Amino acid sequence: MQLILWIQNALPGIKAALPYVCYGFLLLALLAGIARLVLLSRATIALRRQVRSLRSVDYRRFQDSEHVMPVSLILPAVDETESLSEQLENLLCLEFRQYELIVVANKLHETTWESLCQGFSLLPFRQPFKRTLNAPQVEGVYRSAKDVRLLVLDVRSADRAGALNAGVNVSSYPIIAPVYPDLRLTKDALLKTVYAFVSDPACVFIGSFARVGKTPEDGANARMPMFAQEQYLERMRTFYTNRTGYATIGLYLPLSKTFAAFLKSAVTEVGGFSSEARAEAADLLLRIHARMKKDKRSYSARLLPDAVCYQLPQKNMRGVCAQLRAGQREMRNTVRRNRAITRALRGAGYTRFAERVWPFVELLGVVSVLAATLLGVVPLLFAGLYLLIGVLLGAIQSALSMLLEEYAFQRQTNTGVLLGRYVLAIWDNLTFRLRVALARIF
Amino acid sequence: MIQTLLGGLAIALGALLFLGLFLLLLLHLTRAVDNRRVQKMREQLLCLISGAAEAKRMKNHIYEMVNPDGKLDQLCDIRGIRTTRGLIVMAETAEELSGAAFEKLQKEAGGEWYGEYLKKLLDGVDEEAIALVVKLIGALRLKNYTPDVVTQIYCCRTTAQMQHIGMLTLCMLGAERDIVALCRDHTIASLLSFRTLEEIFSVYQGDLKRLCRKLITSASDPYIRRTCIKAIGEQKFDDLGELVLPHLIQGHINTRIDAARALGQICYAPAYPHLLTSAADPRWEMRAVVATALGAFGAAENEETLIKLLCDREWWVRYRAAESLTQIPDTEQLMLRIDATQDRFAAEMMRFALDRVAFLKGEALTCS
Repeated sequence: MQLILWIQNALPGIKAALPYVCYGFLLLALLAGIARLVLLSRATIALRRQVRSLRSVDYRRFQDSEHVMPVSLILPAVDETESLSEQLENLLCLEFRQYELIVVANKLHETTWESLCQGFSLLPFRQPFKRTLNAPQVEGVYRSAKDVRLLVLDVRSADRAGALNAGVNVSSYPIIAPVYPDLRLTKDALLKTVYAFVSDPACVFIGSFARVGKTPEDGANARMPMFAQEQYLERMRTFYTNRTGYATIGLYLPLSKTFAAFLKSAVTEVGGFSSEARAEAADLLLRIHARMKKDKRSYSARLLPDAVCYQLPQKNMRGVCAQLRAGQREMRNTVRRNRAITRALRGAGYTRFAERVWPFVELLGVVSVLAATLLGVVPLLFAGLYLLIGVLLGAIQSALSMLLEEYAFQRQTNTGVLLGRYVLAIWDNLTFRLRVALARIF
Repeated sequence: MIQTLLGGLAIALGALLFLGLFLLLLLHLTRAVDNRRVQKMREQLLCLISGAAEAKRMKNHIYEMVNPDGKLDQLCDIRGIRTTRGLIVMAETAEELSGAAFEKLQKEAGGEWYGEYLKKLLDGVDEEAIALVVKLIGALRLKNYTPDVVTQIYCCRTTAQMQHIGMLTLCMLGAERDIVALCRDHTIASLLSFRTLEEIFSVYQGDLKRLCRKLITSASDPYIRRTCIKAIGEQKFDDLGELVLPHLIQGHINTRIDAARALGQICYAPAYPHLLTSAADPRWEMRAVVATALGAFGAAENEETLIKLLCDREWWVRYRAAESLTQIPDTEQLMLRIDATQDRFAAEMMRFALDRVAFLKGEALTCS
């Protein structure tokens, strides 16, 4: 009763203030739209520079070179995975001279283990290794009779971080690259990644931004289901408009389960992957940043803009929302665990703003304008135009991101697919993007 | 007033989106139209949204030009060839061509019309464009531009990318005199990583042995000297062992390690006693390399030292020693001698090395 009375008393004041609040939100929306377009242009310039620099040096000459650094890929398959064999096929056909693939699996997971044994003819192998990092007991080491590059570790009751540490202990090469079960790599992924280490002796980390869909070798240009295309477009938009958020870190914190490569010496120096972290790779990277800065060492951690890694799309909206929330939880956990260094790296602050605060401000703006329209303090036309401009700005950003990706990285343009994506990029702002924005807030 | 502004903005944004949609629709609908002019327009439109499409168009035209039966005869017939993308495409195409086709492209790029463009870029300030020109010079072996490449390396002495591409081009041109002069110059500090230098020298078109002989004693940068030492070992330049030996005896630890490896690879006899001494080096990295080098001199002759190294406290030293010991044919006797050391880790490592050799040979495994 008291509340109703209070509202009745305050209503004239609210009515008087609401138009200004609406104009304020309108100004904010316009400024944010312009800022995102500026960020897109910056991303374009950076991308052009990167592509040109790679072209001038011609990193491909390292493909058959003896002088390229060898890599240990580590796949922590600690949970039952159906598509493991398919992923291993993908990882074993990369165009790179010298690499090994270490799969950390649990023999007690019968389906996974059976698929490994049948697909790759595993043989038990007596392999002593140095226990540099704290890792769970390795019950057995197996090698594949079909491919000498494949090594399988039988590790029981291990989490992902433990499995990765076990893989690091057994690895033979100076660069380690964790890969996750739902990722697929392009054939030149290792070459492009490792070139960063070869060209820059101070490089300790190189990350990538996973696209959604299939690799070009698996038919990326073939028609993907509409829901997968929507995820692809949302990912592109995030990638090209949030560059400020990851450029200084080397990894986009809410999407840390992507393909990345670490210098092994840097990993062992900070004690390896931590089981207490939700996002072990992001946490490790921030600890490396902290260590390097503390020791005042010159180092670099970079993000590779190229499309080298593809994440399998989620099958339904629930999966997308769960993935999004998991990413945010992981980011919060990583930031909490590494507070001091995240303050020093301004990109982390921007990422949190773009992921958490801005969607909330957008929602508040929409609610305020709708409330103001219902109370009759702003005309209906104003509300309509406010929403329309929001949608149009969003659509332009999505379309430009998609075209930028097409211009920079697509090897062959399929106009049918491109047209479909363009229309979807506009339509998405009324459907998929709204749902994703709500999932980010709640 | 605000609503009018918003309305105008909405119309402008909508028109922009519609224009994009219209162009894409046009592209898609005209894909099957059998008309040359329409296809040409379509191609031009496609080049606006796809870098790959533009590159493909230029590459097709270059192939048409170098083909004696092609319709195009000169580079000036190819639209957009005097752009940075044109430089990239030409360099990439040059690597695919050989014989008369390569010579034709070389002649055209070195000609007056294109040379004017190259000179203009080399005189400009855009370092990325200059890097692309330098790459093209290397790819097409345009030797008359060698002084320009050297000048660019001097001008952009603080840019690693220019050093990389410049040195790579000089190596592709086989410009020994210029490379030696640059590497001797103390004012040019090498910004390149060791592996990059190794890769650059591996494409050298001249006499690599002569280049190594000159640089190992004169290069101001230790990385370049190390690169020469590694090249001597890998290319088996046996008669340059005497130039490597002093680097094993004294110098930075990394140089000493590379020298030990190279001297092992070429089995340089005067280095043998020094290698034996280095088997007790305090640095494990050196002991590991010595284990491999002694294996190259003969595992049977160095069995005692190698077994000692197999019992080393460092994993990698044991691993390298075991690798060398696998050359000994009588493995049963070898295992008995290793078991006699009562070092469990040594025996474990040796069994692993033997299993690995059998595995790589494709033989059945004996481990249980």
